[in-house]
Amino acid sequence: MSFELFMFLVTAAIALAGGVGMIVARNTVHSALFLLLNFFAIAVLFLLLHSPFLFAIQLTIYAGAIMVLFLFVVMLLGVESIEDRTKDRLAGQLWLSVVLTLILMVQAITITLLAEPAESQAQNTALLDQLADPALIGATLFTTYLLPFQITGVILLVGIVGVVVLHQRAHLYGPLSETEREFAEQYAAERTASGQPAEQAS
Amino acid sequence: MPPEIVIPAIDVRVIAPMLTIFAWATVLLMVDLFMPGKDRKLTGYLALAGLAVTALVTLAVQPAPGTSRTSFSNMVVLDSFGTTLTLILLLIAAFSIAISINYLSYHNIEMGEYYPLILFATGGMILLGQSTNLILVFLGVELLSITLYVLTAFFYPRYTSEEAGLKYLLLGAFAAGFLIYGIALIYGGAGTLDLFEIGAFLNTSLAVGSAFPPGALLVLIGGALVLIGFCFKISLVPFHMWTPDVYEGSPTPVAAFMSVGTKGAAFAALLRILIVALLPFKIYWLPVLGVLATLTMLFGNIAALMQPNMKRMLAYSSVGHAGYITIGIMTAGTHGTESFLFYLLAYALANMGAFAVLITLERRGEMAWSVDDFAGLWKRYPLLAIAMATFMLSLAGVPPTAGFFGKFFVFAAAWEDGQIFLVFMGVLSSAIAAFFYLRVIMRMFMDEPVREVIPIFNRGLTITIGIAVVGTIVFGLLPTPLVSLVQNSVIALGVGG
Repeated sequence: MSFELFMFLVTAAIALAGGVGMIVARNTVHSALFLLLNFFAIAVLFLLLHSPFLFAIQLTIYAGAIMVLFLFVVMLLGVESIEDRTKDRLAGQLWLSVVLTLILMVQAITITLLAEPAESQAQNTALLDQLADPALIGATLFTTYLLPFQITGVILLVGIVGVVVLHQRAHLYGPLSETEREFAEQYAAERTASGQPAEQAS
Repeated sequence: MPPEIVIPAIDVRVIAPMLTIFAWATVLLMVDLFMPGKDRKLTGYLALAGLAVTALVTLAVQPAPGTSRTSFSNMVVLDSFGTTLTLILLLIAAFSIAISINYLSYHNIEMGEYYPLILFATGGMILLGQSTNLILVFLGVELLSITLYVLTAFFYPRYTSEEAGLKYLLLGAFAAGFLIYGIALIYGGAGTLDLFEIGAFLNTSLAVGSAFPPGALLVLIGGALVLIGFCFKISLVPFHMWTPDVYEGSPTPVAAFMSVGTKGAAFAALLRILIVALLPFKIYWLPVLGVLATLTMLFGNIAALMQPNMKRMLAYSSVGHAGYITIGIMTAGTHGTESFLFYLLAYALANMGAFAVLITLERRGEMAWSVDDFAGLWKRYPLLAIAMATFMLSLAGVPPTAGFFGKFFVFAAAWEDGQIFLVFMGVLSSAIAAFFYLRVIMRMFMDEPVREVIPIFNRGLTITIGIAVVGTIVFGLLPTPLVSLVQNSVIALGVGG
């Protein structure tokens, strides 16, 4: 067994363990941490595929930014309130998930088997090294994919403006007026009466 | 040694419309910050000016008949179809802003950022109509959706509005998952995201042998997922569940904007994908779309029958109309493109008008838009009643309104294409739909007022309703200029030429 294969097997096992752990963990924070483990393992897989750039991106974006966001939301909502998972709210979803996972596995295996045979290992590795060059990725981003790159900037701008807008209104308009408060309370009462969870009147 | 980056030649004319609207929106965002006081009407008027400038730019760069231009590695195309669609979208955005200007201050939710957000969303729609690359299609959908998540939740402190925003966000994220996974599979199969190249790939790979090559199979699966992603955006049954809740909760002008703008842009992108990239798969997507269109027309109209709430009724009616537009998309090879554009414009006029009438009757702190409010409208406000009746007749497809010709062209295209069953279902569901549209008219003209409702008029609303009424009737009596416009709107099937 080559060193590379050995590394792959170990990392893949860790990635799988992280994925399974995320699903079975009862505590939401533990779930998030298992997901973090999975992200790290995937990052190492990228390294094994000769893609140091993707390795770095995976770590900074997924393990860094997105994970922090997840943990932040979990902490913000309070772990206790979402811990009760004993009741299956969607009947039969366990079996559905098993079936869907099997379909996905069959799909993955079929695609792997159907893939055209590699010409030669060395050639592929050389090609990979070339493709993973960060300079090449940067150059492509500014030439072929110039427009999508710019549009992404617009999307980020809209996202930022949206967050500011949604956050600012409460400060701008101050507390609710009498009619608005009555309206909100009436609505909350209707929701409670119809069996849906009541909301807090702000 | 870093490689030398050579930025390829760029044809700015191709992206001029969206460039103008994005630039205007960004500048407006900053101008708004320096405006004194809480009054933000000026921002709204500046946004309208931006739409007018964009329309002029669009007309200035429009391609010569029968030609098209591509740029940015063939990712965007400027063809006559895109130009016509852009103009329709700009009209929709202008209507939305005109009916918003006083609505926002009346309901105490006026914020300057509202107008730039509408402009950004319109830019996203224009982008959707012009993209010939799946990455750009995805980015266009996201730009449009993220803006609309914010706009739907704009009605502070109405709970239904926040609920609508959250619901739309969650389902939108779900739909985006389908879309991006489908795009990834298509890339895996075809090795490209360019619509023209995907079409060429499918043609060569399907021509090779009788067996289904694995690459083409992946494109087929990916295409199905992309279709599902789009079905959420255009609210085809069974992906429509969010529509009534989101329309009801969001500010009425936003609901109006969404009901026509989002649909138009998403349908245009889907149309391009289907006939440029996935045309070799027509035998597969034709029956699927046929089933979806039938379900949508029947379900949307039957559900609308049972709605006492006008806003929800219009939401379900918009679901039904998505079904008719789908028929137009299905016959894209023959006259479908033209019938799609005609239908979109006719529907936009009638629907924006109907929502505008709804706004005149909407009172602060009320969440119900009951059909009862329309009872006896004729006796109190005859002009308003006539306007609403025109919109209802147009939505129902009764001559002499634009809506009649819209439906007529869609059904004619389907008939010509041999989709007899679809035409039958379309006519049947139109008959069901006529019932609830006519019921509103009956209540307005025959009944006594149930309760006192005082409509609010202002310049933006009056002008919008006026233009919509005139447009609906004029295009219903003299459809010829519009028909020649849409007949000259052709989708570019190849690069250049």
